[in-house]
Amino acid sequence: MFAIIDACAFINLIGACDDDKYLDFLEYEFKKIFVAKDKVADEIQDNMFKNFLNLESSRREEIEEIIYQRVRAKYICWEDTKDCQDFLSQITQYPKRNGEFFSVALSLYLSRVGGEGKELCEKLFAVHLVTDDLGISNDFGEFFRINQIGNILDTIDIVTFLYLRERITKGDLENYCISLKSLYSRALAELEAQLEKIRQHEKDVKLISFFSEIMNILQYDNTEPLDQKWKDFTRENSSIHRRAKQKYSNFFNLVEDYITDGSLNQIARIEERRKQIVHIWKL
Amino acid sequence: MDYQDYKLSENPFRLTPPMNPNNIIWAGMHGVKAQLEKRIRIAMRTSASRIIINWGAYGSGKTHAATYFTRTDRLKKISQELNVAEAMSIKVSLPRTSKDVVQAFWRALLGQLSFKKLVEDIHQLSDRLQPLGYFETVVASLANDNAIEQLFVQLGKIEKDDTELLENYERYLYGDSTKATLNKLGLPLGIADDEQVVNLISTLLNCLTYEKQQYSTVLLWIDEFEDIDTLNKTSADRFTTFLRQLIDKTPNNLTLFLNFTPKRFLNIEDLSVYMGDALLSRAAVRVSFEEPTIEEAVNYVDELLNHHIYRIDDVKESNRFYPFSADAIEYVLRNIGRHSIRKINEAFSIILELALLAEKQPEIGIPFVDSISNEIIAWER
Repeated sequence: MFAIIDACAFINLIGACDDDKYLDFLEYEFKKIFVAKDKVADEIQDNMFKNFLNLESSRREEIEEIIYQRVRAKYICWEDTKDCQDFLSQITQYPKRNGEFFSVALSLYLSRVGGEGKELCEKLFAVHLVTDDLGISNDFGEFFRINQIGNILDTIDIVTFLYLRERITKGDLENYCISLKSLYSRALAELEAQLEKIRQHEKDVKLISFFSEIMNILQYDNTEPLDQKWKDFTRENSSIHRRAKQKYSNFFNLVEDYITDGSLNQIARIEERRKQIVHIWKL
Repeated sequence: MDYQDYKLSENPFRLTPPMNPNNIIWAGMHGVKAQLEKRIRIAMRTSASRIIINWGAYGSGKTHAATYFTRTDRLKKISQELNVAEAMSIKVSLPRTSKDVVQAFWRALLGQLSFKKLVEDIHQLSDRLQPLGYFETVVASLANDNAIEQLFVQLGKIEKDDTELLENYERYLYGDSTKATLNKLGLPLGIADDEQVVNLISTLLNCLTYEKQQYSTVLLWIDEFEDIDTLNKTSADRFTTFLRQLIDKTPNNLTLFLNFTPKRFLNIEDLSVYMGDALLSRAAVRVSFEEPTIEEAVNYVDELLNHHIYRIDDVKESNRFYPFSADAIEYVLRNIGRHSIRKINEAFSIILELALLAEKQPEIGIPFVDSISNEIIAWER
């Protein structure tokens, strides 16, 4: 079995437990681990520290060392996958050239010709793309299936696999889910902290009230989907929304990023998976 | 026009807590206040330590409750009614951004308590027990750790004007465990691990409430406890283990209030995931900060408008809500959706401000509210 890890999966496997032990286990369990040479390593470097608040400089150096030792020196696959990229692009019409795209192209390549195998196509069904990007199955799931590449897995699948292989306990699996959720909850808590600062310093009561309502919608009001609620709210308060956005553009960019990046969907998915742990049969 | 024209000293619907403790007031929400005060009275009169979860929606007044009982003289009045020693109240937010959550909590606690006050309180205990020859024996019986015992005995004996030595102790308590500091203080080790922090805080609380003489009880409010879901599991476990040990090692005279706002994907029943059964089973009492009914919200507005720190001139009983008409108050409350104290304050602040800007608005009635309702963010459209 081969594992291809994308940036968010790599970051989550380390960030959730502030340790690279799951990468150690993966190295034992999989014949080889790969990272696509285009984009993915840079995305890891760019996004790794967003999840670590107030990180001590010595710890930051340690994590940078992990990235170097694991990704740059070990996992990056340097083979030319251009033919696979062209084919993937032609079939899926996927418009972006991001880490997901290059990871899928690499998966296709490895399932046919790559790795250490001597025969062509000996790794069909044996290449597993590990990603916590929720959109990837929609964008590439069908392509993966009809090309008999293998599976698209998320990091909870990987940690469940490690539990079934008795590398870790059931408690560790549950703790992984809780810690993974905390990574996605932190972004919102950070927004909340910024919002509270704005509320403390702002003098305009309408803006203060507007910001309170934003906090309520983001964090507490779960009566309808967040993106819909946000659209309705900004439409109903369009003039004050414009004014607030002009004054606090950075904050609004973060809010809009948060709403579109699917963190809440991630939290919902993780919670559901955590509750499903009791459905796993282990010998 | 200004607030005086409305017979008000300033906007009573405050959006941020006042700096001056005299301006921190409690209006309405009598049920919640009664429940909290019942718990506080029990804590002052009885000895067992307890955990209480205060839970309620965003803006429902949990932080205000912690601020009110920590910064005003309300606890002093209750203790006088009961004829017991005062209670000490400390409010600390859950440390969310530190890698070392327990150390961060201790530093925040010490910051709220103040080093100077801590030394004064230990001196007071020492002054009471030293002449009887009991001080060291009592500290030894209350401490859970030899190094901490030594620290408290030394703090009890230190000269109040020895500023250099006091500074060294302060640095030590804030985590300085360099060899030079340890040598100067003659202490074997620094406040390095979670267990020592627990021993330090529990010894402090045990000393301060010894025989309920200096303080009848300590109320420790941990605000924003819902942010526990932003800590990774290891940190969350460290913090809840710390709380459990703190309650174990401070078996008497500590009441821990955990302020908890349920949020998306974290309801009160999910707390067991973070707190574990051992800690959660001790949090048997829960105080619910319910959404106020229309009547309760009207009562809240009434008490705020007529509180002596805001009302600067008498108003007729028939016109208690001045500058608002009574029907306008209810009209607003019926149109701003689900109530929270924060939302009520914000809605009425906007209305008052716009009325002042509009000039010539002797009374704020329904027609005026209708004319500006699109400016009220919470107004249901």
